[in-house]
Amino acid sequence: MSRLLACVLLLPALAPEGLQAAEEPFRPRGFHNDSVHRYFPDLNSRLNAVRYGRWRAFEIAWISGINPDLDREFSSYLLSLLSDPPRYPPEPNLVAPRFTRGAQPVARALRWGQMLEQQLSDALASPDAMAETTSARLDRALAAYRREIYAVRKPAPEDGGAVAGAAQVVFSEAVRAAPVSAKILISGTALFIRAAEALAGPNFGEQRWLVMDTIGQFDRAFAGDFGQAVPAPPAGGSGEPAGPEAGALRPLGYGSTAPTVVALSPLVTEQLDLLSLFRIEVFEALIPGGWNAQARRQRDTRLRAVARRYGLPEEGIGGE
Amino acid sequence: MASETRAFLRRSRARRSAGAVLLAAAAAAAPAGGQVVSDLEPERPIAVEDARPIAYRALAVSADWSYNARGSADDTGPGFSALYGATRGLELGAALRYVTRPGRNALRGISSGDLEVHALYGVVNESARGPGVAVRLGVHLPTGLDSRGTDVHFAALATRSFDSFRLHGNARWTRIGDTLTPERADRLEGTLGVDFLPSRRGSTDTLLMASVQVRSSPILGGEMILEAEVGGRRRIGAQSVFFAGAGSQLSGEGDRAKVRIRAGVGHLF
Repeated sequence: MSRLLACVLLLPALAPEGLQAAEEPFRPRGFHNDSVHRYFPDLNSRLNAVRYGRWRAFEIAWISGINPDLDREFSSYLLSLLSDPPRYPPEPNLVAPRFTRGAQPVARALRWGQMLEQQLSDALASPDAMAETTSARLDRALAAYRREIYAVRKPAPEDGGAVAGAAQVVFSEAVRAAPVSAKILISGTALFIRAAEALAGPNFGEQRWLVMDTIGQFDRAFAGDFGQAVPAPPAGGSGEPAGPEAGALRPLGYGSTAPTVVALSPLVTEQLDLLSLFRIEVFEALIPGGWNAQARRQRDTRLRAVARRYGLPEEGIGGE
Repeated sequence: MASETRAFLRRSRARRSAGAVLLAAAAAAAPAGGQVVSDLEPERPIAVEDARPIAYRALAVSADWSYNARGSADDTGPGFSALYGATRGLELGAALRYVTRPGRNALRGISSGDLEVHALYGVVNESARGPGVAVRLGVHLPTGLDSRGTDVHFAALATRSFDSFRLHGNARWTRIGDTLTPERADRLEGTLGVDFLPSRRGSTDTLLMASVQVRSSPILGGEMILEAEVGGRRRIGAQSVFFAGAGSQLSGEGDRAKVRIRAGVGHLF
């Protein structure tokens, strides 16, 4: 019996390096958890649709790359999802099975980031939310987030590290290859930001009104300009920007759009802006897709570079 | 006397080395995700289990009611279980099941009120290269009615996901602590299961599953038992799930469970 016990206990040590069960933990406990689900079900269902959409986009891009096919498949998927939004958040390993097992550290960083995003909304929507309690809850969520190896870290400046926070102009091959999908994804992130600012309202009545207004705006124009900052006027005069800026997307950030939330927890909002940027870079790294061995190699190399830049482990990416 | 001292020292050394191995294993245990529907647990609702421990720091509790139609002597009763993510990748759990007719069921190898405790360790995560693998060690303590000895089981679990479904394989060896003359002390069982999302748009609120299990008869020289089960898990709250399943022992002794129905709820804290 003792030999059997010893064998069982030694098994973990025999697991290949990098393949040991290294998943993110359960979310921090607290009274605020699931508050959006309980008190703002309409908003929650749309946030869930965005979560589903993000994971589905990563799965499609992981398999087929970013191209007009993805644009059609993804936009029709999200439209059908929004016609009857889901009540509960997705389980990524079921929505995006190939992406979550083929790009483990990146998928876990995204899932762990989703936890922080959800903690922010829930802390703000909690019925006992006051400035002090919300700040304390967010500090605790951020501390738990940063303890994990799957926490996204700001890239060093010499590593081409971009500063998150301000509205940033996205010129990318991905946006050109799949413009509708890119707009939808950016609008999804904007829904989280605008909803957070609405939930930070001074009282429950105003909170409800602001949330309803945000939902209305999102439903009317989610694939349009909902998620974009107002473009800066071009240097030479008025009108539409010319040159490379034409057609570029300007995603919203907490810094520019949600001053009340930033005042409550500047560090959490900075981290969430960084996560938005990370999500865009991951999406761009998936452009080659997995059509053939060469495309897969290229995709995996790009994804490893993104993981490295954001301080994530590279083991577990690729190998299909 | 000297031999007793040597034996004592040997046992002490064995305990110390087991403790050292346990500490080493805990240190090697790297960080486990909070999935509500897709974390499969045995009998919740069917026998198959996935090779994935519950998330670190998560606590899952479940309760169910089972009914076994055996023709002449049906039995029924509740089951309870609790799982906890003790460290990253290590799940600790306890389960308890009560059935009517405990005396008769004890002779079939089915306990009533025995406490089963287990540890499940995720050895390898599922990756693009291979399936997820986990090991499980469990002890059945004779705390119930008509219970006799302490049983031990060891199981190896594997899970591989494909685009639209997941495949699970479980192999288990059980050593019965106290047997009657015609009873088999070492029992083996193998389970193959599949689960998939029925939703066409990929909603992860409902998961359907099916399994086939082959296991040795509790009676020496008895017929091998073949059992088939189907079931589903449906999310009914942010962290709650309803599960239900039905199965049948297709071969075995005359008083086998021709129909088994089970339904219950689980919650993740």
